Amino acid sequence: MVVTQVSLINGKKMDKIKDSLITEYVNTAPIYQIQSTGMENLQTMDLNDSITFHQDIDTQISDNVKKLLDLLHEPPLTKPMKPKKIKKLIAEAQKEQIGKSLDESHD
Amino acid sequence: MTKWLFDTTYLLPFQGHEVKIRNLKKDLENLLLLQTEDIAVSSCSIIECKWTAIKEFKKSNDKEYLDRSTRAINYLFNSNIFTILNSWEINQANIYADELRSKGMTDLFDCWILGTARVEDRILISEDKEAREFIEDLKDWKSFIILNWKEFKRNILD
Repeated sequence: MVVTQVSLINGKKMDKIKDSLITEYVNTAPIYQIQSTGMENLQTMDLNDSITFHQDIDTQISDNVKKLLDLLHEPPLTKPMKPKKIKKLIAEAQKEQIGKSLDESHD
Repeated sequence: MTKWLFDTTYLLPFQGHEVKIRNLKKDLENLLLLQTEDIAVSSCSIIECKWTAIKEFKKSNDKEYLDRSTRAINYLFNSNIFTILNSWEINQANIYADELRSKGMTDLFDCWILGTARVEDRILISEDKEAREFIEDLKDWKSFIILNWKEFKRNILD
């Protein structure tokens, strides 16, 4: 079982819950409680209120999402890089690939 | 509902590139568990991911860079969470990209990514400060929004 805690911060977060979680996890018990509470009441909850969803990860999320989660858990291949360094890396990689392709087209 | 378009940076952790943004991996994990369906990426970013994997492979001769990148791209395409938009197929994205290019933005992929976000009415999530400053100076792009990860988190994850 996986527990995901969702804090109700603002209207956008409520949209997220309404559009994604409730439709996705409609068969889980905590959702029934939310539905019976009603969205209008939920939106008046205090900023610090939170709802805990108990989700069965094996049945609720797709295989490919599980695989993406697994990828995030695999050991990183590189040292941590700041976004600026990432941008440089991408630019260099682009230059390498396009440069090579152009060279090959001249062969 | 607000829709987002992620820049390449946020896809790299899936293929083993460690990005120095606080809690990025944990945040991505939470996004996956939320199963939101309003996140898009440009196919330009998919190509950039592959380019970086190839670059690291060439440097290290470690085929794991290529394997993990291929797995990441496959799962991204089939996850139903990320919508992959083929920028070059979207005519108006091309027109916006040309506009940016003509005004001095030199990286075609950056132009395409921005053009795609604009035509799709999506907020671009990017750490690219230069692009942000460039856009801020353009009159026609005044209503276009770029947020960095920290700002995005404030909107959706925190």
